[in-house]
Amino acid sequence: MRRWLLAVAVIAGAGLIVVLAVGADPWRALAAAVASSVGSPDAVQETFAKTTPLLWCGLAVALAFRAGVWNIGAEGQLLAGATAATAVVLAVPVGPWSAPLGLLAGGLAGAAWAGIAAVLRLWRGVNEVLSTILLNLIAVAGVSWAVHGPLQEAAGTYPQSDAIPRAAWLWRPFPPGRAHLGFLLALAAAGLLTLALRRTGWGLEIRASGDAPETARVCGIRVERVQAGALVLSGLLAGLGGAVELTGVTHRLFERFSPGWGYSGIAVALLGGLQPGATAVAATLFGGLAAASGGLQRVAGVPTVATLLIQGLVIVVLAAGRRR
Amino acid sequence: MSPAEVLTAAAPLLWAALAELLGERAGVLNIGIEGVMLIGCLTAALAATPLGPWWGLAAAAAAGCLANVLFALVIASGADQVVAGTGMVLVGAGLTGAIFRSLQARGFSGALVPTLPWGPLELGALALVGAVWWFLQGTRAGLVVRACGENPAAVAAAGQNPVAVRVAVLAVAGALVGVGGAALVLRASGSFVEGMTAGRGFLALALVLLGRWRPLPIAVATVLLGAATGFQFHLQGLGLAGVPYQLLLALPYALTLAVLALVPPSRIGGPAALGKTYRRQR
Repeated sequence: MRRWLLAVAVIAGAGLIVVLAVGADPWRALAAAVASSVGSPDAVQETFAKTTPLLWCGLAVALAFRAGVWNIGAEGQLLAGATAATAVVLAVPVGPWSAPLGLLAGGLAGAAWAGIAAVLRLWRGVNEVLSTILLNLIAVAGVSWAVHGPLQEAAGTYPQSDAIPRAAWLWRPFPPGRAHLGFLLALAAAGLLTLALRRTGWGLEIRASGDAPETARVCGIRVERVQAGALVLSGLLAGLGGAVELTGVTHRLFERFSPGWGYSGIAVALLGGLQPGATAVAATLFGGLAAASGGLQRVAGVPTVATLLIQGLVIVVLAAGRRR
Repeated sequence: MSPAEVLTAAAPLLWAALAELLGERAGVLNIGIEGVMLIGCLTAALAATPLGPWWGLAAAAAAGCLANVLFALVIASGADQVVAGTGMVLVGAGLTGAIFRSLQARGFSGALVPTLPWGPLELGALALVGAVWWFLQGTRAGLVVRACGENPAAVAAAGQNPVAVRVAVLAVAGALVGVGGAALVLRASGSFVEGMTAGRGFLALALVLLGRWRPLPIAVATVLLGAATGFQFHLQGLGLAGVPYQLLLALPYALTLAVLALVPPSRIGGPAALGKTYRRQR
């Protein structure tokens, strides 16, 4: 409970300071924030649309951190997933299989991107904090290359891919609102992950490797391998987040595809106490913040990049407030 | 590329890497220097535009110091270093981005920052290599710092306060990172652009690892990487066909990752308490 109060206090406090700093009227800003996040059915849908990639990344981070692996690379894994989904959906003939194939490709690409860090850690002892960060930077450059090169739209005008065909779009229950099937899939993934962590032998190995690696080792758990596996699976989740965002919301790949969801996922997972269920609640809170920031920019001239500041402060405050 | 140009390219990294080294030898893994460096960049641009480059440099050092002290206090409260550091990266990116965009709306372009001549920042970085080496190996204070990185509890038992030592070291390191950020603005580019550090703070972390926590090897690795980065711009200048510009941007990171993979850093040489949370025993 203390965690949530702290997070809400930081969001409200930092938000107010930012609004005052840009010289906007706080009441108008508050009205805009509420209106664009929960004020109407479409606004609520927008909140859920923004929640979706945050939840996938939050789950990815939660799983890795639970296992004691510092996956800072959800951002790069998400980008790898989105890129692979674009490439595959545009390459195969259009059909009902387009979207599932895109998601599959995205998940696998995310897993592979994390797999580089996992292999380097397992075989060469390379610290995953560094390798995943470097892989993020490489992925950003890779996306930029892809949309200027092999995946650039046929018209060749803008650095973006062609739009994927409608048949590959994820289902939106209440158009024109942007909430889509990917959100429900993420909730299902959260449920599955909860069960797996609590009820399976694999889950026990994950938790033991994170909470008490020495004890786990004595009990015969091959901690390094369990952690490498968790890192790969974490990459799969983040990659799915990228594929889902692409097929559900943007429908094309472009530079700056992600405003930092992979990093936001860390804030989300920490606020959720690394529990999948609570992570879903945290993702919704940050999804609402992201939706609100859109309205704040339009009405009050608050730059959306300020949400990064607020998320960073939440991470710092939660880290400082954690008592073991 | 002349040696002078290589040094200009390497100087921001060198300031940051040596700062990271100081922190790590005291036992603190500081991922957040990427964010602190950005804060240094923006502060340098903001102060230098009306007051001149030297004030920009001083202001960047002060801002970096302040930001790192915040991080140090969070660490001192028992926070995990990796998590808090990641938070600092976002704080730095978000804070500088938000301030810069609001100022842009009021007419501050970030371009045309007055610059420093070649010399002070480049030669200063080289002098710092020697100074850090002398401090760590040759002074009593350096010994205490190293002890905090190996066994903070023993430092406490000897009557010193490891938490206070770490805060002090991070304060100095923050100022150095701020100077590194200023070197980017006041020497290399003469302008501020959002997210302009582009991962240099993270590269500094990798360089400390590659140089195995020793100032001289770190400096050599940094200058080599600086040369590689400069070489990349050179390739672009030559308009070398067939090598896409976006992939060249990834070159320093891919190179660093490859070197990390090929030269596995042995555990020996790294401070024993690096990255471990230490809180005062009461």
